[in-house]
Formats: sequence, C-alpha cells, structure tokens
Amino acid sequence: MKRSALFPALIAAAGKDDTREYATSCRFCNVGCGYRVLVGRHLKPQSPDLPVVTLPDGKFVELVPDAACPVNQGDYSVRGAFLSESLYTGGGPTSDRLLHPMVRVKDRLVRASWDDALDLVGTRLKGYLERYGPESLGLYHADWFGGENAYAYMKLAKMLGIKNYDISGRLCAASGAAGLMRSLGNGTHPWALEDIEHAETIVLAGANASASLSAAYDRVFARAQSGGAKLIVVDVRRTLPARNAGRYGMFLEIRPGTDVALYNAIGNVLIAEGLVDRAFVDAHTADFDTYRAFVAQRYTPERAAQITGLTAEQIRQAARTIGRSKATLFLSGKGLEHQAHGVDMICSFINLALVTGNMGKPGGSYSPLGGHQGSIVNPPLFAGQLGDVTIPNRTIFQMYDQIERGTQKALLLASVQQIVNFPDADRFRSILSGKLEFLVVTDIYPNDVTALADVVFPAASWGETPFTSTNTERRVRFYEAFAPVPGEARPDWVVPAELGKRMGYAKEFGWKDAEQIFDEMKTGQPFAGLTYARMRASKSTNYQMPVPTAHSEGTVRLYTDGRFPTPDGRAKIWALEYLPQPEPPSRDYPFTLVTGRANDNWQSGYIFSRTPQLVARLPRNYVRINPGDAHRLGVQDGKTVRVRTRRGSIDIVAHVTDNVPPGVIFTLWGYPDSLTNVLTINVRDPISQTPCYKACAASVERV
Amino acid sequence: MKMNRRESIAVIAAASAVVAASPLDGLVGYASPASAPRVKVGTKIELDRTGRLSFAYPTAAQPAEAVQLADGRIVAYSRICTHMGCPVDYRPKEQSFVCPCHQSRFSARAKGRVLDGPAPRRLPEIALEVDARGDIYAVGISAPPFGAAETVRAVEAIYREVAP
Repeated sequence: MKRSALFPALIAAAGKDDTREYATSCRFCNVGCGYRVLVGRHLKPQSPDLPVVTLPDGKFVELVPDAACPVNQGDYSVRGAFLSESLYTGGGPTSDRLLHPMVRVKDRLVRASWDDALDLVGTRLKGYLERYGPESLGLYHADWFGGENAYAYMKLAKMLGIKNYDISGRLCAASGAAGLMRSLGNGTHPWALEDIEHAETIVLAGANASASLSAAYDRVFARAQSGGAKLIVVDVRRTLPARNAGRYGMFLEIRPGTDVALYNAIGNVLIAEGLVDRAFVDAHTADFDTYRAFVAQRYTPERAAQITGLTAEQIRQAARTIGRSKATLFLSGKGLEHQAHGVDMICSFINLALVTGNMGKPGGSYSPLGGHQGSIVNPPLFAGQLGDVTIPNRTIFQMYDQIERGTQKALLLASVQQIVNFPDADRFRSILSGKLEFLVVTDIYPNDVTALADVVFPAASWGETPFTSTNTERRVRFYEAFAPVPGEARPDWVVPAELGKRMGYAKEFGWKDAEQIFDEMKTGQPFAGLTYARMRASKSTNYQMPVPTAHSEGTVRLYTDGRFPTPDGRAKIWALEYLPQPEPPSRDYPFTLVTGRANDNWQSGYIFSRTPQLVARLPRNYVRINPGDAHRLGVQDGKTVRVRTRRGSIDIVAHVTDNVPPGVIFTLWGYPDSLTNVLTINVRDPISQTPCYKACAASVERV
Repeated sequence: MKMNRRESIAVIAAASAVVAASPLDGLVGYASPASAPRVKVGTKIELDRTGRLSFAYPTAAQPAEAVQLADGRIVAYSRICTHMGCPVDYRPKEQSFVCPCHQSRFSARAKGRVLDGPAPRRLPEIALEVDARGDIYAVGISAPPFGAAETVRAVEAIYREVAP
C-alpha cells in the first residue's frame, strides 16, 4: 500500500498548489457567518471536519469558517458546515438543478431557448398590459437572493407601473421591520453583534436562537456562561436557550401569544420602581406619559400573571434584572413576528428598550433576529432610487385575492417556493392552479410552483454569480462567484432585465453584469461608499452600513446620538393592549399548534433536502407533545399521529417530550414534503400582513 | 473485534477509492484496527469503580474517554468536539457527551451521533478490546479527531508506519 495512492491530493499539493481563495458568507441565516472559499485541482484541505466537494469542472472546493471575520470568528452552524455540499456538482443530490428554460406545451414543460422563452413572456405581458393595464400583472420575489436581483425586479415594476409587487419578507421579517418603523422611524436593525459582549442582561424573546441563528447564539451563551450577562428567555417552549436561561438567568415560560401583556407589565414595574432612564426618555422619546398611565392602570404584574401564566413575582424579578443592568440587549425572534398582532408585540418589546435608555449604546439595543439575510436591504432601502415602488403596494395576499377574482392575470415568481410556505396552503394551491392565466417562475430546482408554471427560467445561485446582501447588524455580505454556472442558468436579474428590454426599455436595462447594477443602485443609499473592488478587498469582514463614502469604514451601531428618523426626531413609546389569539383552543381542537425551526433544517428545506448529511440528522418532521397530554391520548413516542385543524390534517411522527408544555404541540414550519402549512391559519397582522404561523387550534389523534 | 488482513485491505482499498472523489473522505476510517496504535486504557476493575476512564488516542495529544453504559456496554470516544475542538464532557445520566463551548451533544449509546448543536459530524468512536485479564485497550478509531493539520500529520505518521 503506497501512501501516494491514499493521499493523491495532499501529495500533489506539496509540489504544486493552484488553490485560489475567495470570500463568501453563508447562504442561510441573518447572522451571515464569513467563510473562506478554497478552490483548486490540488486543494490541500484545511479542515478534515468539513466536506470537500468536486465541482463539474473537476476542481475541489472547501468552505472554511473565517476566523478573521468579526461575525463568527471561525464559528459556524451545522447548516454552514455543509455549505459546499449545496453546490451543483453535476451529479448526486443536486443533480435536479434546472439547467434550461422551459415552456409549457399542453400538459408538459419542454426545453426552450432563452430568447424564445423571453420573447414568449414579453409578448404575453405586453398583451395583458395593453388589454387590462398594469393591474393584471404581479411580481413576487425572494429577498435573500441579493440586492442586485431585487433591484432589477423593482426597476421592472417601476417601469411598467406594476403595483402588485411584494417580496418574501412578507412571510418572514415584515412584522419586525414594521415594528422598528413605528417605534424608531426606520425598519433597519440598529444593533451590532458585538453588543452581545457589552450587555449585562440579554433578553431573548420568542427566539430559539441556538437552532436558527447558531453562531450568534454561541456568543450569547458564551457571555452568559462567563457570568458577563444574565440571560432572560421568554418562550412557550423549553428550548435550549430556555434551559440555559434557567441556569444563567431566568426562563419566562409564557402562554402562546401573550407577550404584549408581559412587556406592558415589565414596563409597569420599571416605572413603579424608578428603574426608568428618565434622561433618555425626556430627551429622545415621545408619548411616555400616555404609556405610564396606561401600563399603571391596565397592566399590573398581577393582571399580566393571569394572562401569561407567569407569576407576578417572576415579572417583577425580570423587570428588576433589566432595570438594574447598565446595558440590556433586547432580541426577538419569529415568536413575536409570526403572530396575529406581531407588530404590537414588537413595539411593546421595543418600549422596554426605550424606557430603560437601551438604544444606540454598547450592549444596549434592540433587534429582531430574523430569518434570511437581505430582508433589510430590499424595498425600504431603495426609497430614494425608485420613488413610489418603495413599500410594496399590494401584498402577495392581495394578489391572490385579485387572481381569485380574475382581475390579475399573470404572476412572476423569482426564487420563492410558494405553496409550501403559505398558511392554509391548500387554498393557495388551488388559486394558483385553477385561476391564474400565466405563471412565470425563475428558480434553481423544480418545486411546487415550477410544476404549475407556463414558463420556467433556470437561475444561477449562491457561489455561481456575485451578489450582495446584509446581515442583522447591517454588515454587507458580498458573495463572490467561484463555481461554474450549471447548464444555461443565468443570474436572476437577467429575467427582469431582458423582459424590460423587450418591453421598450433597452437603455434602462442595459447592464452587462451584477457589478453595473450595484453601481447604479447604490446612489444615495447607505452603501454608497462601496464598490465590488472594495468589498472583495475586505474579504468576508466587509462593512457595516451606513458606509456613505469611499473613505468611510462603516457604522457599528445606529442612533448613538439619540436622534431617530421620525418627524420629531424622537422614538415613539406605544400604549398597546394585549389582544387574544385569533383561534383559541376549543373542545374539538384543544391544543395550540406552534410552528418553528430546527437546527438542522433551514426554512422549507430547499437546500437541506439535497444535503444528505443533514437529512440523516433530521430524517422526518415531528410533532412534539407533552408527556401528560400524550398519556391521556394514548400517543406513543415515535408513533404516527394525525394532527388536525379547521383547514386540514397531516400524519406525522409524535415526539413525546416536556420540551413543550401541556396544551401546546410543536411542529417544524417548513419541513420538506410534510406541508405543515396545510394546518396553519390564514390570519395576518393588520399592519405587516405577516401570517400568524405561531398559533392556531389543533387536535391530535392516534392513527 | 480483530480484523483479518483481507478485511483490512478491503477497508483501505475502499478508503483510497473515495479519495479520488474527495481528498477528505479518504481519511475516514484511517485507523482501522489493523493499522491503528494499540493503547492501554485501564482495567475493567477501574472502570467498574468509576464508570469512566480517561486516556489519549490515537496520539498522546488527543484526549479520549471510555465509559460504561447503563446496559453494561463499554464504549469509548474521542473527547475532541467535531465542531471547533473543545473537550467534551461525559454526562452519565443522559449517556451523552456535551461540549461546554457551543453545547453540541453526542450520544454515547448510538456511535457518537450528534443529538443537538452545531457539530457537523459524529464524535469519533474508539474501538476497544478487553483481554482475559480485564485490561482494556484502544485499538482503532472510526474517524480522525478534530484538528486540521495535526490530524493530517498524525494520519500520515500512522500510514508511514504500516506502509510496506
């Protein structure tokens, strides 16, 4: 046995090294960990613990967590660990990539050329515009696929006068952005990740951050474990952070959807016990007096205790911990956003940061944690650039209503799986398949909407085409291209650009590459000081926005001067009533169904389902049920049960665990092929229009 | 537990076939029982008394632990977390290893499987032999423990020793 036969790559590397290094970020969550990308035919692996894959051109590629990146400092999540396995290799689990445009001929999608497919779409859209006007067209795209792609779609909407325009953040981060907007005057996240290391108390509300924002939570855990900060976790479930909080602070095990009452009562105690930062409140906030009277009268800890299921003493203790800290960091997750009154929950939570003066100072801030990157770089940021298309005029839900009525004829979807993500999913499937005349889909894999599409365009994805987005601390993430583009796939922006050209705007859509789009869209924006060259040179560290000029090194945190982008320059403190859940448990549906995320799976599992090592860790969806409830119903751990709501039912494996309290069941929001959203209720926040994925009434039975 | 020569050649051949696809996969199973060092872990009497035995494997710089499970089985694992290399602690009550840095949990009952946390792969399991006198020996490991350059050097050293 010769050594050279065992280690050809290593031996070869000793003599010849053609390895090129690129910088990128993880394609998943809003933390945006930095990675070094090593590509070469004679790659010497840096880490035996992370996979190396072979690209179609025969080169090896390895992604190594970047120790020099201030976001993750070498740390990574299990989702990030298998990033390289998500690349197109020409075979294996990613071999079903869309490689060519396709058009529907009768019941079948058949291969077409880019020109023919684009001509067809252009002609159809022109026809609808002439006969029915722009009301008949709609656009809906991802917000995680980069500013360049989003900008191209926004520009198309602007040029064609399309008001039916929305982004996938509607289902995700819209409540957080709207809450920030109402309280602080701008939807941008104001904090910095390094605030974790400055905070004396960290409040994590409705966020299983260890599962969904792992590398950020690792920093929170390290801070709590070292005794630097107390950790307060507000959650319905006994998650890992909740258990950590039991040890390093306190866990507030709250009833689903009752957060507003809790935060109002904490506000009550802060004021009653003189723990308010009066100087900050007087100088930088509005409507404190109304709030003070409101919470004093309506939200005593005793009343909130009845609503939330906590004790008044727990609420007082939490308030004292927050109020006596020099700096408290308030972080919220989807538990506050995916609610029927999510914006109210966010604003009532931000109130606590404002009355304690925790805004814009090291360790003292608020942020929603969020799902994907990019949800904050999209429409709100293009305000100056594109005028009136800034805030989506009609939501995707309004578009569905229009399609159902027959007034909207065509829909363009870009990089958004549709049905699996929608509450009351079956209803949306039938609208899309039965009522819509013309559906155009751009994506990377066949999915539930390409199956219904009239035209399908294959997109180039992460690692194959450059684009930019931003993480939760406004740090720009620049994704370099390092892998060959599969088949005839092209970047997402090509579709709106080519359609724009075909509809009479050749000059406006004359971009040669993504860099030209970036240079156009940055004018007047918080990243105006950046260029592709500058971002490349900064590697995965990049810059925190605003980066207004070419000499600016970025901005660590917002509102350090206490001035807010509201008309009077003050942040607003809101007096908000607690409102009950839209669908409380009943005799027939005695459980509250909560949906959420798992560590191993990202959202609807588009990438996950093609990453064998992750699927092996989480081979099926599950419904978690408390041992007491399980015993009463005769449900056994590992056995299939039927979960039913007023919308539909799914059969799913029961996981009996005290991770959920009695009366609550939990299942994964978007596990592939399990269609949890057949169950969820299509009730939405009145302001953000984000669906209430987090609570509806359900029953469980043995099958 | 002992592999005959033919089986061990099969393992190595399979490993080298994978190398063609990926330079890393070839490392998996590198210390098959036939080629791995044989290190004394302790005695059955000591293990019965304490429930666990610390040792180092495959090199003196790589901590490992042998534990006795509730069902009486004796198993051993590398103590180096596969996420970022922190030393994992054994929790006898839940029969799992837990990383103090980022809270990855590994099952001691199910071949080091990741139960929770950011660790990308199993905790490497160490093959044990108990001889007639009750002495326990580590004789192989299922995968290289965490640690990039060190691991590669250790692997190369092992193969230098066994290569004909």
